[in-house]
Amino acid sequence: MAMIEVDDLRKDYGSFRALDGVSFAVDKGEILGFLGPNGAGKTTTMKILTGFLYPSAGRAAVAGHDVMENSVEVRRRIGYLPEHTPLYDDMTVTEYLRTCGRLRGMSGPYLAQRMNVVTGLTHLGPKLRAPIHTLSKGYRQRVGLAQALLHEPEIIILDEPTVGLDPNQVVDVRGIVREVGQDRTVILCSHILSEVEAVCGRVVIINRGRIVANGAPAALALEHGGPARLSLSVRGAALQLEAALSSIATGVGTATLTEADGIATVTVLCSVDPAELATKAMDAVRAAGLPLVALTPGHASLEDVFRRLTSRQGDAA
Amino acid sequence: MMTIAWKELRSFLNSPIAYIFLIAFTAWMAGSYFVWGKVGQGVTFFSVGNTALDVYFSLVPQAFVLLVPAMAMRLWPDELKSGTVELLLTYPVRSWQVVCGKFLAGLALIAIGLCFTLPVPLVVSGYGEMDWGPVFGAYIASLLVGGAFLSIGLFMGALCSEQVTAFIVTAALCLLLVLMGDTLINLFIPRELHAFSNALSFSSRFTYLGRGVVDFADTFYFTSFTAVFLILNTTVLETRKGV
Repeated sequence: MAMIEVDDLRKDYGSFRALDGVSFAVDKGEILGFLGPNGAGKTTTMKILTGFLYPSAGRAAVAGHDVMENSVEVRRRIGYLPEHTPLYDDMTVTEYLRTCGRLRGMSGPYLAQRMNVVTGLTHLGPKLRAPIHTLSKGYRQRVGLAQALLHEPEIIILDEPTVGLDPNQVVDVRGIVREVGQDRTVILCSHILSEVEAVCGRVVIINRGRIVANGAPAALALEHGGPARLSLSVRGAALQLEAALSSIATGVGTATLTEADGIATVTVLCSVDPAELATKAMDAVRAAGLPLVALTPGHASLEDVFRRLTSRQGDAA
Repeated sequence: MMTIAWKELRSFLNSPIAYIFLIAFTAWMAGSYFVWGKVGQGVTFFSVGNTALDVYFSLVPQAFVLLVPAMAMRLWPDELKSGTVELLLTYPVRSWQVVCGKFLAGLALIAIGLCFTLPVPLVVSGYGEMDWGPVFGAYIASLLVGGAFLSIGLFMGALCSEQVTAFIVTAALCLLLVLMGDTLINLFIPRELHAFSNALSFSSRFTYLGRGVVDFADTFYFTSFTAVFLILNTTVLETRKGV
């Protein structure tokens, strides 16, 4: 059963249409990456799922509960880390988490035990008594994360959880997301592509209020990533390499030739099968007596997919 | 709801505003009564010369006109500006519970302030036979008026999401409600509307309650007034979600 179902969701802010017919579903136990350029509608979608905004049209359901009709049931099941991590600055970490727990109807030993678990998970131990306004960005983010995980939610929605963190903290947060994502449904909003690629099993890309791609990162790269890349380097001059490859050069794609430190490199955006081209090219350079230095097949990355899909839409509009 | 009330009360007590409110309120009450006299009348405890405390308690609405809006102004704007409202409203609590929680926290602070005025009736009772009925009525009336002002302040804070604007508008409204029905104000409004302005006036109802006449109509007026603004406040929050 799908944990989250979104069907033809629309949201207008005055005359501006932020979401224009967004539909997708997330299964139980899935980590979904929700990607899009700034202002594409990511945050609006998350605010609708968490009941902070009502949709203008369309339907969204979480664990079978409609977000408008049964908002409280929906909110009970979701742990949410909003963008920019708002927190009550005048409280200490412990006070804050306790308040959050009580607002969720938790109390007594269960609350204490859960507070222990989440502060352990997010490594908040040394800062439990610190007032939140004294915390660094990284610790604030962890407090927000701890708050979102406190009540063992079935669904966790994280809106840009690693913005402003240093690389070590980013790795930390990713680790936490992966850990909790093992048995829960997670939506990770981001425009940091490497993060989504590293953590998410499936990616939805949204642009200008519409879904433009939906699938596993590798599948998307194949489908939308454009031509595969093949790069070949030999010891020698660019002219030698060009001569060696001239016999196979017709109709394989756009090639660029460079030379640096006595190494000539040709990069081809293949319009033919890259594996076949690689074999032919190796034979050709060997026949010409040029020592092969490197042969690198390049996959289209999620970044290529993202750029193609989100800028193409921009051009069309 | 109690969790929200408790959270707000804590954050009050963690900030200077609560103490400013309490000190200013107590100082104003005691100062006006014993030293410089009630605004516009100059009556003090010594010039009245009896143990009836209606002059003392009639100072309460005057003090509340500035102090309650000042205290209420932060309840929503803080939350709206820092974005914590997004946390609060995505927890499994209903908007009206959040509104009532904040209201209760403010009301508790007002109640604490009123407790600080208790020494005056206690001391004055030492000078002669004390009629505690009116004192009790006056405390009820003060709480009702404070609650009504607070509900306006809360609503304005949610509406304007800006502390200063909320404060000014609320204080102006509170002042108007206190002045309405006053003979001086009635000079400026058409005669046909006098009955209307007298009916809306906080002062006359407060005076009756303060004499120990806990009348159903007056109590009902204040509580329904408060309820209307709390409902409006909830509506503002719901409207923000858009349809």
